[in-house]
Order: sequence, then structure tokens, then C-alpha cells
Amino acid sequence: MYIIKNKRSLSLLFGAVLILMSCTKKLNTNQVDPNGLAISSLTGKDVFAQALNATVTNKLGTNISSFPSDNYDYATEWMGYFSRNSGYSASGIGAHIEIYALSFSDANGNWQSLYHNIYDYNFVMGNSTANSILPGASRVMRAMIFEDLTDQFGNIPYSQAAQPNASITPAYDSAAAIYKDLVAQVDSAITEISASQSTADDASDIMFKGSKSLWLAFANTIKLRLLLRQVPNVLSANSSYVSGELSNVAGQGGFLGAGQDATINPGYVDASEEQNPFWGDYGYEPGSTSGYQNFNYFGANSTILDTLLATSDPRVGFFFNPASGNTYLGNALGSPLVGASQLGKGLLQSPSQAALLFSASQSFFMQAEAVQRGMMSGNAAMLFRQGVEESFRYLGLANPVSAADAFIAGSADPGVNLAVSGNPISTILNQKWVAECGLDGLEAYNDYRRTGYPAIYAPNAANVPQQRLLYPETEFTLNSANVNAQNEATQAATAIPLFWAQ
Amino acid sequence: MRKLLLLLSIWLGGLAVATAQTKEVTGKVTDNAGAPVPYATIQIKGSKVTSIADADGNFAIRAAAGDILVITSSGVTKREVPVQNAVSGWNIVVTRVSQNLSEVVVTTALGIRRQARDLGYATTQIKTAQLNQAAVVNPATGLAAKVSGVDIRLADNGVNPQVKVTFRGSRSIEGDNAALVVVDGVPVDQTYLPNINPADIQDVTVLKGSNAAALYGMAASNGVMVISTKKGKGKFSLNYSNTVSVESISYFPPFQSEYSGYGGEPTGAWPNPPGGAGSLIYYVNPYTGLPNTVPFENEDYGNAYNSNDFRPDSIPIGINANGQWIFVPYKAVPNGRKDFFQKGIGDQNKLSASMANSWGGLYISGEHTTKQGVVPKDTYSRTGGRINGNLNFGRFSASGGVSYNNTTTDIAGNSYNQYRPVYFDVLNQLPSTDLKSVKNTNLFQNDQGFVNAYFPNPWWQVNNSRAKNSTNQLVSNLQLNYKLTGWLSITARGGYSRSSTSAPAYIDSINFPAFLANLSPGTFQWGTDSYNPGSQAYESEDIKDHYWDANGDAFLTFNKEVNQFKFTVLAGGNYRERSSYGYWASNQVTEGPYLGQNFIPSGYTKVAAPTAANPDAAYAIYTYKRYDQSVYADATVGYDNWVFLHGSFRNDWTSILDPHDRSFSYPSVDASAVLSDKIEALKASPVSFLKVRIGYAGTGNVSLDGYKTMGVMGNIAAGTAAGGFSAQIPNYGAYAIYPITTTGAGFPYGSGPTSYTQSLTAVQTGLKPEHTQSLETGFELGLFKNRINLEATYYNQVSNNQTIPLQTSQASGISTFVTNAGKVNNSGIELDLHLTPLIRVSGFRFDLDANFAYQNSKVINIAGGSALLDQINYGTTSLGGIYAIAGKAYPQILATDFYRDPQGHIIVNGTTGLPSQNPNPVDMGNANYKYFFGITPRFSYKGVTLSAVFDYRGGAKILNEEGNVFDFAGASTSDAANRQAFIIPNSVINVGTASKPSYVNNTNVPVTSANGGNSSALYWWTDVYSEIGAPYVTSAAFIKLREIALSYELPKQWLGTQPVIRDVNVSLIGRNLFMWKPKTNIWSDPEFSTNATGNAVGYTTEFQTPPTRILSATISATIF
Repeated sequence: MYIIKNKRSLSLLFGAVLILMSCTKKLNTNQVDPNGLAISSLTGKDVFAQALNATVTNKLGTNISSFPSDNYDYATEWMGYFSRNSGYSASGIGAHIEIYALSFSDANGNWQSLYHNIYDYNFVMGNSTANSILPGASRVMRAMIFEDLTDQFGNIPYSQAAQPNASITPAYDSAAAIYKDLVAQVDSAITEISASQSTADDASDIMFKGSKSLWLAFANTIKLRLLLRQVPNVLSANSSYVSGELSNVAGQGGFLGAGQDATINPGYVDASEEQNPFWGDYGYEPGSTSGYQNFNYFGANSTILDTLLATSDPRVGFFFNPASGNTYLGNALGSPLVGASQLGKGLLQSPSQAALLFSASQSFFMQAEAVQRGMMSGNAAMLFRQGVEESFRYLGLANPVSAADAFIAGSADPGVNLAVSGNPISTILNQKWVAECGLDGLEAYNDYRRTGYPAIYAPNAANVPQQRLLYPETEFTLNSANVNAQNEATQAATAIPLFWAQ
Repeated sequence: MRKLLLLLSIWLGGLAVATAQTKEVTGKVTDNAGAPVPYATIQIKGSKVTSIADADGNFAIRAAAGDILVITSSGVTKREVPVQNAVSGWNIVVTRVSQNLSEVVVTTALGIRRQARDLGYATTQIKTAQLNQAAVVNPATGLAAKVSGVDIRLADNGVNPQVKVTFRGSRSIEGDNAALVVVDGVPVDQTYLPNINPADIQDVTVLKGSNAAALYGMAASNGVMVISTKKGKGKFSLNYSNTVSVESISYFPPFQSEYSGYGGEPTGAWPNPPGGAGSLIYYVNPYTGLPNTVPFENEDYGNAYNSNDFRPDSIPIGINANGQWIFVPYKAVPNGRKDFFQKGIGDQNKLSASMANSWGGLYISGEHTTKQGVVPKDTYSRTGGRINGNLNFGRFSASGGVSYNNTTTDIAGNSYNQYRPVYFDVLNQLPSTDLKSVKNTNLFQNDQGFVNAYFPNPWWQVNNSRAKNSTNQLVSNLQLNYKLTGWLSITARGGYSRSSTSAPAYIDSINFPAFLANLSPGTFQWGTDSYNPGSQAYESEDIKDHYWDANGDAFLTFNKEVNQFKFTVLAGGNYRERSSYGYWASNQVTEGPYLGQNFIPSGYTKVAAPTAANPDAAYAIYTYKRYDQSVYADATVGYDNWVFLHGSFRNDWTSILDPHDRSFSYPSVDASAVLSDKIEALKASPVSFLKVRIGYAGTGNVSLDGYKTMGVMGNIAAGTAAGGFSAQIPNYGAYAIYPITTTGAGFPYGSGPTSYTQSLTAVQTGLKPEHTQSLETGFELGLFKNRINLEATYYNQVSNNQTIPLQTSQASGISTFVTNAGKVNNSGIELDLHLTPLIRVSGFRFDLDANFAYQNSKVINIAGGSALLDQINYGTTSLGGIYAIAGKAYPQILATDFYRDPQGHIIVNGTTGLPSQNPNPVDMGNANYKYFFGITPRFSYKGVTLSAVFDYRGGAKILNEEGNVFDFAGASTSDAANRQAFIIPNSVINVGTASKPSYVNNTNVPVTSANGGNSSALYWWTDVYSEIGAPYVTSAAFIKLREIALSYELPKQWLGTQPVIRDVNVSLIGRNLFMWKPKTNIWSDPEFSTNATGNAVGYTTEFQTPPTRILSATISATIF
């Protein structure tokens, strides 16, 4: 046949096809978007700093000035710290807070941001240098956030959560089982941190700069928080589980001590979107003394202000500014009758201040309670005093140790002075509540639901804080089978106490 | 790519040398009109040596002097020609006999020209004359209603409207359903289609089904529109044509003209003149409690014009440059708003030259088209040129072309604050406003030019808010063919196209006069920042994009007859590389007192990256690349020229999928039989032709998001859907399977480290393409010597593995998971009837073509039957949305509604007479048309031809969102009906309990109002009715007289004996002269669609201009 003579042409044709096939390399060069970084090109150290900053931003507020934008703002208001100032009207979530009736949709943002944060910590744990501090540190952070989630919602997606390739409709686990596993998670984190070595990844640790001892102290403190939350309503203080878990804390770095606030600072500066998140939410616009909307919107709640004034607490001028003529004014939640005192210099220290995730003061108050309840040995009175001292120090009072000691010793108020108190737990939690003003409303809300302290709501009062948040609306549309299995699809579910609550 | 082409040309050159020594007869078979006769069989008489001509009639055969060549082909008479000597460039002329439908030569996949008779699937060809009979500017619009199963949907009547072309309904829930466009064998981006000079198009072949298109691989599951441009032919000739057109509003919704302006102003007073010491005019009459006229309102809930509550002589509309008030009469002005729109003049000039000889041909054309819109100052222009050439040199032939055009649109942009279009701002003027009288905005002292406290004078908008798009496009192709033997040839083809767009937009700054800001503090505040009433900052935006597409094919074609078998085989490979680059910068000043005054650039101004002085600027750059390659083969075996079996296979590799999943194949097989050639009984019957066919094909569609959205100012001119809020650049689905991380909020802080967070979107590992299986069967019937031709096709397509971005539980850490899920079934019937001619009596001839299509797209399931994810939303408004819903036709309209009883009556409150809104949207029906019916009659008598196109579409619903704009503003006639307290017609009251309802007709409870008195109309329309979508859903059916054209060919004797002008044709053309639609649809043209390019068809908004009609006149002359 004629074509046989053209073998050459056929071979050339196949040659051409081979040239085509050689372009296959190009097929492979096209996996990654040049417009940004794919996650495959990153390791844990590239995500860890962001994850830490997101954790503290979720807690303290966002850098966008708007009405209640802080995930735990409801707790800050319910625990009597801040309230709406005169001249403003509440709408949406702000209005719901004031009638103690948060709706399903109010929790969407809180839920999404915490779970996405966990998703990032999962990445750091799975993609970091094995012997670096990041996997262990991330495991502690993750445990803390899961605890925050379950403390607000009860049963939550846990074992299947934040793993989209495994499930996009994760099932819910029981809050009690989650707590048990979280303690185990912190234990294994402590093992990981103990075995870790200093690596270049430490640079991404914008909380403790790779310090093993501080991470261990933080992990132990979070473990104490997990155990203490279950005492006395779930666990007895002297159970072998509690004592076993706390037995070797001292040998593993102890708790956060004096001056050891867990703070996060990625390099905050006084520029748009780059301020400390608390400052960006409640403080002033960059380079000015003109307050953001939340600065004007919120003022002192009369509950905390009355307490501070009644006990002549020297911290009052650090939490709040005098309203006018050197007098302090506060508003009851939902009744803004006066131009109340605005946030003070102890809370708004500087736009570049490190963001407070967990204070040394809280650590001492928790230890004081644990000792007082008999969970571990120690000097409750001394730990209590250190809690107040650390609060004075954080807020910037001069000579904080002596000033705090004088404040306690000079007071005849059982809410201040443990020595005159017939109810030491009440006194400890009362001062813990004061120290947490504006800094950790969620922890105060947790203590209140667990112990009833501080007793800022009259028994049988009509308006009291909800026992829990409702599951977000998005779960009912996107994970309905699992969320409906919890039987909490009505507003009435807000009255169901958490398993560790009173 | 370039390397490849170079290699191929060297290789072909080498072959030419290597084979030139063989003695052979080469030539071309043409008909008596000079047109090539493709695929003619050339046989040496008395031997088995045969050769088959190629698509252009070229053949080569080894023959000795004295042999006799027998030329046969369907549709021509057999001819025998003796071979004198071995020659080349021999032209053998054969005589055509009358053609039937199937003897048409059509362009099939890869640009291969084949006889329709041989094909096992439906194809339709539209010739240049049919396409251009109404002098269209956009070639796609010239196809409407002419072919069954082809849905041409026009987005609006702007100067450069988007057109969506879909064949046989929708297959993909989230992916692209628009047909692939191929020009001269090379796929081009769909955005090129509207910019082709329609006069350059030789024909358009519509490969409706995936059976026809399977050879194109993944791009072809939606069918292919194969466009062939003209080639040089005949002796040298020049053609010039000029078309002048006038476009005007053909339909405007009815307005009420009884009531003046009032929008719920409190009982306060307005000083007249403002700021002066004159008498006070009260918003609400303190004596009657009824609303007075408020001249700066946009809502028309005030007094009736025939009452005397307001100064009867005049109302103030603004202050002139001397500080004096301008008054207009206190009465409604007929057409005061409609007459804002102008008549748009269009002008098309086209010149082309063509010539050909046995060596080859050349076609050169140029055009310049300009158009004004019905919106004043809107303009469109297109300037372009094309050179097509072909060369025959023995066994070697080459053809190629290059075209270039610039298309520029310059249109009114959106207004400040809410980015409203001109039409919206026209609607929101008072009935007393004669817009023509306020055309000169310089008359007014203030920048705004008109007192309306909410929306600008539309004249201000056309002068001060502009959006532009200037696009340059280059499309080129080169095809080289070498005939290795009489039956084997090799083809190499390359295509390269590129496009670059610049789309700037701006909205000028405004300082509103203080009196407006001070009218009622806290009530009338301007600007986005409530602390800065009185100023509106300058905004500008610039969008640029570039993309290019390089495409190469190489394939062998094999044509051979062995005994009674005819084999046609093709095998080859393809490589395609696409790339795009986009740039967006915006300069929006949203904060700070009078910041807008700091820089007031004039006109379109470039915007740079943000600076300390201008921190509100935004800036982004995107770049995308995609590579694809394929191998394919296609074979047809014909037996005895009446049974044909055809199969094709293609395998694609694409860079946008994971290496494990990037290879996939598309098989297709079909068979056809021309029964009329074989069944003796038919030969005596009226049946002159009968062919049956059946086919199966598998195609795929990688439906990853294909566009990147840029911009914020709603620059409509930038090239997207009307009402869209951005421009789109093609990203070809590149990189979609590996979502990128984002920089953590605020990072880097100061000089600190940068850190990242994972995307909220994740993609299923091993994502696969959508897979469509298509079955097609049909017949073609010719009766009475083919004077009646009927084609019928039934198809059924099932598309699996839909690629869907599912919304996830947030507890999964993300919010969107892109995964394979869902199934769509799409089926239909197509009928095409040709009566050619129906009547022919002494010079009078009447032809009639008709086509009908039924199509039904249905979503079988979405997330595998999971109830919670069975609904995909394409965008929601307060009125409703367009959805894909499992078990329903696709797509579906859901709209908000009142609570109704089981009979559909509105349930009202027994005390207030008011209804309440049902929070669950109600299913209102499907948005894609199900029935299509086109009729194209054509009369001719001597040189006069009258042709028309009628188009019916039905079986769909439409959500007319702009109806809500009319009603909200109190501008509609329905508003005028219920000004006093009224009882909602056909309403019922529940006299039972909530659980055991019992409804009685409401005969005595009128709507009472929270606003008190008789202003209930305002409350009813703006607070109750405006959130309800159901009343705005109507049938989308229509009948249009799309085209009517009367043309006259000047008698030759008039031209005399002069050698220059060969013929002259004049024609008068009307487009969209009439539209009939159901009485319930009082709003707009139901063909319009806010989202022209996406899948969310089925709602119209104020972003489309009102329907228009176009009248035009064309003169064309052929010279030499």
C-alpha cells in the first residue's frame, strides 16, 4: 500500500503526538493558585500566630467598630460589667442581650469563628516540626476553645468536628464526655510540650515565644480550669480523679504565676485594623482620642460600679473614667438613664498593648478556690491575695502588691476580706469577678452558673442570664439531623443548665 | 505551542519535497456555480482505484493518460472525464441536481465538512443570508427563533447586551450551560461572539447535542456553535453596505398620574422658600390630618393633583444659579418620565472584498458600527477587520485568517449610595416632573440639579456617573493540509486569540445644598456616613483584564471506499493553553467630612494602590492559567451509501483537576439509514427521502467556578450581567481544587510576621468532572420531491456527578465543601419543518420554515437525597430567588407570599384587615422556557423579498422585581387604586382557631394603618406589600415579531451596461416591532434576565432598560 512508503510521515506524526504529550509537565505546574498561598505550601508555623491572634480576638472583640461585635459580649453585659449608654438604642443581638433572650441566629458568628479557629489549630498540630512546641501548644489551645464552646452550648460536635474531609455534618458528643477527653488532651499536650525542643518555629509563638515552662504552666492552668469547672456539681473535690490529675502539676511546671499573664501580641500598632483587638473594639480610632462607636455605646454597668464604690476599691478609676465632676455613673442593663462612666485606663492601656487571653490573677483565684475546696494543698488566703495583687498589677496601679494588700486588709467587707468572710468561696469568686471586669466575662458567667457567685441577681428575679446559648440557626439548616437529636430547638432550651452547673 | 507549529511546518515541507516526484492527477471538483463539491468519489473507470475529494472538493489520484475518471457524488450528475496527461490544478465541473435536506454539507466537529446525509445526529445550518436578514449587530440575535432547541436569551436592551446561548436546556446545576463557540475550527471565549461582524459569517452550524459535539471533549457537553467565516470566491468583487437604524422604547409600564409626592414625613413643616422667612408648608395638613405634597419626595403618596390642598400654581424643584427658586406646575406631566429616553441612532458601515482563483482565495473586510442607546449619552462602537486567505498548491493547501476588533461601550453608571441604575432613578421622580425640562443640570445652583431627597435627577446621573468598557480582540487561525495520497491527508491547525479590556467607571462627588440636609434633621441625611450629611464623595474604579487562548490540533483523515463500504476516519490530538490576568483598583471615599472635595478628578481617572492620603483605595491583581490536551479518533463506515455507522472517542487531560482525576474520556456512537434509498415501496409514494437515526454519547463538563469577580461599583459596562455588582474575568476553573489561604485579619501587624488562616472552602479529594450521558434519536422526511421536509429529534440526557459547593455545618471548620453530588435529567423534542417552496406561481414564491421545541430540565437529586441540602440558591432578594430544587424543574422560582387559605385567598387579621407574611417562600414554577415555536415565512416576487420571524416561548414563569420598585414608590397604577382605606379583594378571615381554621370571606374589615388617617396606601405599599414577591411572578410567555425585512434587488437593466456596479439591494427592516404577552405581565420583556451569563435566569429588574424596537434601512452594493 501506498502508506507504507510514508512510514516516515507516520513516524513524524507520532513524533508530533509525543511532543504534545511532553507538555504533560505543564499539566502538573498548574495546581497552585499564584494569587495566594495554598495550604499545601504552608506549615504550622505559618498559621500558628494567626490562630493565636484569632483566639484572643474572638474573646476580646474584633477590630471593627460596631455594636456588640465581641463573641462574649453577652456575658460581659450579663455579668454586670458594661451596659448600653444613654443616647443609644439597642437593636438585634444588642437588644436580645438586654432582655436575656438570645435567639438562634445570635450565636452563628460565635460558633463559626471558634470552630474555624480549631480547624486552624488542627492544621498546626498535623503540619509542624514534630519536636517543636507547636503541636503541644496547639493541643492546649484547642482544648481551651472546645471548653469555651461546650461551656456555652452544652453538647457540641467534638470528635468529628473541624475535619471537613471526614464529615461536613459532624455528630454531637455529650458535654461530660468532651470534658473528660479534654483533660486527657491537656495531659498528652503536657507530655508533648515536655518532650519538645526549641526550634525556629518558636518565632510564630506570639504568646510565650516558645517558652516550654510557660506553656506547661498554661496547660496546667487550663487543666485546673477543666477540673474546677466540674467541682462541686459533677466531681467531688477530693475524688481520686481530681487528685490524680493534679498530683504532679508541681513537677510539670506548676500554674501561671505572678507576672505570668498569657498575652498575645503579633505586633499591634496604632493603625487601622492593626490595633489590639480590645482597643479596636472599645477604644479610640488610630492616632486620635475620638472613641469608636463601642466606646461611646458602652459605659459602666451599675452592678460592678456600685460594688467598686461600696468597697472603695482603688481599681475603680482604672476600670472606668469618671463621668463628670469626678463622679462615677453607671447604668443598669437595658436602662440607660445617664451618660455613664466610660472605659478607663486600666482596660484601655494602649492600642499596642498585648491582648490578654488568660491572666495570672485568674490563675491565682482558681488555685485559691481549688485549695479552699480541698482539691489540692496550699494556702488559700495567700493565693487569694496574690489574685488581687495580680489584678492591681495588670490594671497599672502603683505599688500593686502593697496597694492590694492594704485594700484587702483595710476592708470590713466580706466580699473583699477573706478574714472577715464567713463564706470563703463567695469571697474568692467575688474578687475573681471584680478582677475579670471587662477582661473575661465568659469566665465570670461560668462561675456564676456553677456556683451562684457573685450573687448579682436576686433569687427568683424575672430577668436572669440564660443557662446556655441556643445552637446557631446555621446548624438547623445545615446539620439538622444531628442538632435536632439534642432536642433543643425551642427558646425554652435556654433554661436547661449545663451538666456542671448548679 | 509555537515550537510545535514550527516542527509541523518543517515536517510538512519535507513531505512535499519527498512526494513531489510521484506522478499524479490533482484537481478540484466544483459545481456549475463554482462552489466546491466536497467528498465526491473519483474512480478510474474499469479499475478499483478510487479517491475521495476533501471538504473543499480537492482530490488527488494516481492515473495514467487515457484513463477515464468517473466523478460521482450525491446531489450531482455523474460525469466521466478522460485524463490527457498527468496534470495538477485541474478543475472538473459537475452539474448539481435539486438538493434535499440531507445533501447539504455541514461543518461538524473539528471543522470537518460532511454531508448531512451521512450523519447520525441532528445538525442545523444557518446561512449568512438568514443570519443577516435583519441587519443585526450581534450575530447571536440573528439566530433567535430560527433553529429548534436553541435558546437565545437577551439580557436587556442596553447598547451592548449580553446574550446567553443554550442548546437543549440545562444540564449543570452550578456549571456553565452555555454552548461552546468555535470560529473557523478554533474554540473562542463566549465573550467573542457578540463582537463578530455578522456579515463575515458564511454559515453557523448548530451542533445541538452532545452526540454531535462529543469530539470536542469536555467543552462540548452543552453543544457547539460552529461559525465559519467567509473565504474568497469568484472573481474580484467589492461589497459595501450601510445600515441606519432607529431604536425606541416599545413598551413602558403604566404610571399613575393622580397623586403627588409624600413619603410619610412627620407632622413638621417645610419653610417655603427653604431657609427663608416665607410661609410654612406642612407635610401633613394640620387641619385634616391628610398628607400634603412634599416636593422633594420620591414616593407618590401625597395629595391628588386635582385637590387644592397645595399651592395650585406651582411647586419648587430647585434653586437656580442666581438663588431664585425654579417652580413647575402642580400637575402630572404625561410621559414626563418616559420621555427621558431618547431615540437611539445606529449606523453600520461594512466593506468587503473577495476574490479567488485556482491557487487560492482572499477575503478582506472591515466594519465600523456605532450605536446610541435609548438612555441619553449611552454609546456603542465597534471597529474591526478581517483577512481570510486560502492557498492550494497541489497536494498542499493552507487556509487561515486573522480578525481584530475594538468594541467600546460608554454608558451611564449607577447612582451614589445604593448604586441604582438610570431606569430606577427615572421611576423615582414625581409625576409632576417633566424630565426633559430639567435636562440642563447647570441651571441649578446645587450639584445635584434637582430636588429629590433620595435619588438623583437622571440627567445628573448620565452626565456625572459613567462606566466604560473598551475591549480589543484578536482571533487568528491557520490550517495546513497535506494530501499524502488520494485517500489520506494530514491536517495541522493552530488558533490563537486574545482579548484585553479596560473598564473604568466613576461617580462624581456632590455637595448637596445645606437646605436639603437641614430640611428635617435626622430625617434627610445624605451619604453613606450618617455623620456627614450634605456631601457625597467621589468614587472611581478601574478594571482591566487580558486573556489569551492558544489551541493546536493535528490529525490524519482517511477516506476510502472498498467495494460497497466507505470509510471515513480521523485521528489526532489537541493542545490548548489559556491564561488570564485581571487588575482591579477602586477609589472609594466613604468616611470623613468632605473628603470628596479633596480630589475631584474629572472623568475616568486611573486609580492606584492605596496611599496614606487615600487609604480607602483598594487594589487587586489576579492571574490564571489552564492547560488541556487530548487525543481523539472518529470513524464512519457507510455501506452502499445508505447505512452509516459512526463512532468517536476522545480522551482529555486537564490541569485544573488533581493528577489522579484529570484524565477522562468521551465515547459516542450513532447509526443512520437512508431508508428511501433502499425501500422500493417508498419510491412510488410521495416520500422522496426518509432517514432514521439513533445515537448515544458520553460527555463531561468540569464545572468548577469559571469566573473571578472583581469590582464593587456595579460597573455594568465592565461586561457582566446587568445588575451585577462587578466585572468577571475568566479563570477557566483553574486552581479551584486547591483553595488558597487568606492572610489572618490584620496581619502583618506593624513589622510583625505574616500569618495565614485556612480557607472557609474545602474541596473533595478526587473531584471528578460532571458526566452527561445522552441518547438521541430522530428521523428526516422529505415529501413531494422534497418540497416538504420534516426533521424530528428526541433526546434524553442524564448528568451525574454534578460539582456542587455544598454549604456545611460550621462545626466542620469550614462553610463550603465542593463535592460531586446531584443528578439532572434533561429531555426534549425538536421539530423542524421546511416548506420550500410552499407556493410558486409565475415568479411569486412563498417559503415557510417552522420549528418547535419542547424541553424539560429536571433536578433528580442534589446531595444524594439528603433532605437538608436539596436546594441550591442562586441569589435571593426580599421578593424571592432562583433555586435548583431536587425533584423540580430547573431552575425554579421561589417567592415570598402572604399566608393564604387552601383556596389561595389571602388571610387577613379580623381587626386590622392586614395580611401577614409567610416566612417560607412559595414555589412559583420553573424559570426556563419549556415550549419554543418559531415561524419564518418568506415571500418573494421578482426582486422583492419579504421575510419575517415570529417567536413564541412559553411554559415558564418570571419574577418581575422592578414591579416592586414601581409599587414602593407609589408610581404604579395599582398604587393609585387603593389610596383610601380598602378591603383586600378576595381576602378571608380565620374565625376558627389556629389549629382548626375556618375561613369566611372578608366583606367588612378594611386595611387600617399604623400611619393613621387615609395615608394607608403608603403603609400598605411600602410596609406590607413591598416584601411580597408572589404578586410579581407572572407567566413569562410571549410572542414576538422578531424580524421583518422587506428587500428589493434593483433590476439589472437599471444598472445599465456600466461595468462597475454589479448589483444593488435596498431593504427596510424592523426588529422586535411587536410583542404580545399575558395581561398580568405589565412590567417588562420576559425574555430579559438579570443574570445573562449564569444559570439564574427568570427575573427582571430595573437594571434592564425598558423593551425597545429597532427600525432600520440598509443599502448594499456589489462592485465589479
